[in-house]
Amino acid sequence: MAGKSKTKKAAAKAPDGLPQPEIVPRDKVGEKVQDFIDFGGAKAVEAREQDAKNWLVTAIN
Amino acid sequence: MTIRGSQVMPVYPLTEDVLPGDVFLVTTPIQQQQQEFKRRGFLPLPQLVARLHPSGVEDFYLSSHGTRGMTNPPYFWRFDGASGTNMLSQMPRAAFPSYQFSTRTGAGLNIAVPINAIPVAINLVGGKRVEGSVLLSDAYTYGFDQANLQDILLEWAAKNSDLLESLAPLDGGTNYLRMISRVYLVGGVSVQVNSAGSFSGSASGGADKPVNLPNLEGTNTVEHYTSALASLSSALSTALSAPGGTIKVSSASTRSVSLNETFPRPLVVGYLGFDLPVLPGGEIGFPQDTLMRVKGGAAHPIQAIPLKHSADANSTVLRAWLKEDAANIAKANEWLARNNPTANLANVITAGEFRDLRKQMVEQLVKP
Repeated sequence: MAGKSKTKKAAAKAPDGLPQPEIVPRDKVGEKVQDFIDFGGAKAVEAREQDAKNWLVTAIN
Repeated sequence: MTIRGSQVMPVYPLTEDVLPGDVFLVTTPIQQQQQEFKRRGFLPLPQLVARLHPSGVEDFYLSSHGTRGMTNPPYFWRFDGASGTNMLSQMPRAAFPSYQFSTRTGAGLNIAVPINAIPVAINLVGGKRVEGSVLLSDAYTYGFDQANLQDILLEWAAKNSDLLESLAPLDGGTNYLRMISRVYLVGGVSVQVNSAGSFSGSASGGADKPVNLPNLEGTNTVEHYTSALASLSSALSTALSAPGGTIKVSSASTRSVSLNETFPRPLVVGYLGFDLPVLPGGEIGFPQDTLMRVKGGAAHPIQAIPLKHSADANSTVLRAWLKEDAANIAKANEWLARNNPTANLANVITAGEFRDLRKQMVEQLVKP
């Protein structure tokens, strides 16, 4: 299970079925937000609707 | 009296050297921090970790408020460099309501603002029980938006992961980086204190320095009254020779006194900011509003470690396959439930931490 050792750090999963936040290059923010909406599950969509300020994507140059 | 009633976090002590972009390490656990904030009315800012300089003050204020061509707030407001005079009048103004307080002689005065004029005024009226009000005058404010500040903080964090790792809590608690996003400055304060007890007739200002309080009972003419106020102001300025501000008596009677304290330059009296938890390993978590957090209104920090975006060829392939058919999303989630139930599909697509898992998914589901 090579994947398991690589993802050990990600074991601290976000609560309530949310995806984990990602630090994303500024030009990829739109694409990543769409990923979260399309594939992140119902909780991600709900979080997006309720509180855009604490959304899962943090842009970085 | 609490400045936080105005949705501003008070600074203690007053200083002009707190700027938007300052990053402090806050180590107090949140429960204790809330208690401390309720008890003292402010939170000390003990350890300055970094001073980051956000750019774009001219864009933020659309070249108004004297920001055209300027890059170094707040210093260009304080001194324009050409004439040596300050341009503080161009800084965005603010105004605070007056604050009420009351105390008894010998009791602690929990007003959270270290203003000399308050204890001086209390001593002057000399009653056993005093009530008063404070008006923060000549107030200014400036700041930056959280999005801008958060970006430069994360960039700084990426370059200083070693330092952040050393700041991470070892005992299961949470340390926070508190970033200042806006500061409020005041140029002076007006204090009025009324004695609710008997008048004592003696006064002291500062550390047991004697002040001759004129007999205000006999000031029944304007001339005598003005003279008495001048004498009081003179006595106070002599007794309070410490730096920091000047105090003048604006009115006085046997049961009340009003003092105006002015600072040579405006001092920061409060701030707005946000906190980012330093997670184990030195990673930075979600931002939280400082005031909301210490009031207990913010959620507990999301202890999820942010993942690093690292898209590759499999990201493109996987995303395209998922978008082809909604059934593919269900297949992918079923596959994840079997192979890595902690991973979220949205993260698997691009996160560097899931590179191997992503490859396996593509090999087994998309290109079997």
